[in-house]
Amino acid sequence: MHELLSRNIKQKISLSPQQEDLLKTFFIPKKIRKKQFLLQEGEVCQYAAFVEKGLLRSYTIDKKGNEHILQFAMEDWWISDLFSFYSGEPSVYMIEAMEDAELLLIKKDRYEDLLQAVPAMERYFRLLLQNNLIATQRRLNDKLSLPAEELYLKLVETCDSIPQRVPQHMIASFLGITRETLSRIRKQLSSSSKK
Amino acid sequence: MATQRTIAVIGALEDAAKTVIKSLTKSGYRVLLFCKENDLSQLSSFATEKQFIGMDLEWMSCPIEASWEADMVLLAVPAHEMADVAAMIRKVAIGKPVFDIGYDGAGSEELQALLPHSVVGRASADTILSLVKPFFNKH
Repeated sequence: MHELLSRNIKQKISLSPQQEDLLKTFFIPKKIRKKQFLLQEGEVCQYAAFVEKGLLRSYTIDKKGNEHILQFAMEDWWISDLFSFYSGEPSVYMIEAMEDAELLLIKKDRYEDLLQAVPAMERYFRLLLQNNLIATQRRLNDKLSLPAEELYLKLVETCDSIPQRVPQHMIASFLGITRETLSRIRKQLSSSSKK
Repeated sequence: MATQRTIAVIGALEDAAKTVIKSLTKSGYRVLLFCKENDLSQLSSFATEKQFIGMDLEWMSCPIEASWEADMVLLAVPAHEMADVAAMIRKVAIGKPVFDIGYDGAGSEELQALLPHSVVGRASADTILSLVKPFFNKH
C-alpha cells in the first residue's frame, strides 16, 4: 500500500525503520474510481495526494466551457492544488481520476504534524517543491518558445505512457493546442517514422 | 458542486445500519455495504430494493475494499466481533473517521485502542446525519 511512496521518499532522504513506520500513520489510504473527483472547483483543497496506482488529472473549465488540463499524475507522482492546500482558499481546479486509483492522502494539519514528528520530511517536501517549480518553469518556457510538435515530443519523451493512457483531446488540452493540430502532428510523426 | 463523499457500512444488515443507510443515501452520500459472507445474498436483495433505485449504493464482498474506498466507516458489529473487524480494516482506516453505530458495539476507548490511527466515536441512527455533515464540512 505504501511501496511507491516509501521508495519515492527514500530516493530523497534516509529514514530509520521506526520513522518509516511512523510515517505511514500520517497518510490516509484512499481508493477512488474512474471519473470520481478528489477535488472540485470552489472547495478548499484538503489533501496532497500521492498516486500509488492509477492516473488523475487536474483541470479548470473556462467561461466558454473549455477544459484546460494542468497536470496528469500517474504512479509515483503527487497531485494537489498547492495554493488552496497551503492557503485554505477555495480551489479553482478539479482533480479527477482518469483510471481507478489508489492514493495516499495527507491532510494539511497532519502534514504539519508529520514535519514535527519526522523533521527529515521537511527536506523531502522542499525537494519536491523545488523539482515542481523547476518543472513548471520549464513547461512555461517550452510553451512560450517551442512549436507544437516539439511540445508533443517532449511530453512523449518525459512521460511515454501518457499517450497510451490518455485520450488525444486531453493531451491536446494539456499542451494547449487543438485536437486537429495534435492529430496532424501524430500523423506526420507516424509517416516520418515509417520512411 | 461538492465532491461526493463515500461511507462504508460494515454489518449492513443490522437494524441500526439499515436505518442509517436509508438516511445517508437520501442525503446524497455514496454508500458501500458489507456484511458477513453467509448473508451476502440477503444484502444484495436489500441493496436492490425499490427504495434505493437511483441512489448511490453498492454492496461489497470485502470489508477492506469497502473501508479503503470510504471517507468514513460505520460499524454495526456486535462487541465480540469488533476486534476481528478492526484488525481487518485497521490499515485502510488510517486517518478516517470510524463510528460505532451498533446497539451492542464497543466502547469508544476500546475502539480507539483497536483502531489507534483512526478518529473514532459513537453515533446512532437518529444522530448520524447531524454528525456526518459537519464532520465532512470540517474535514
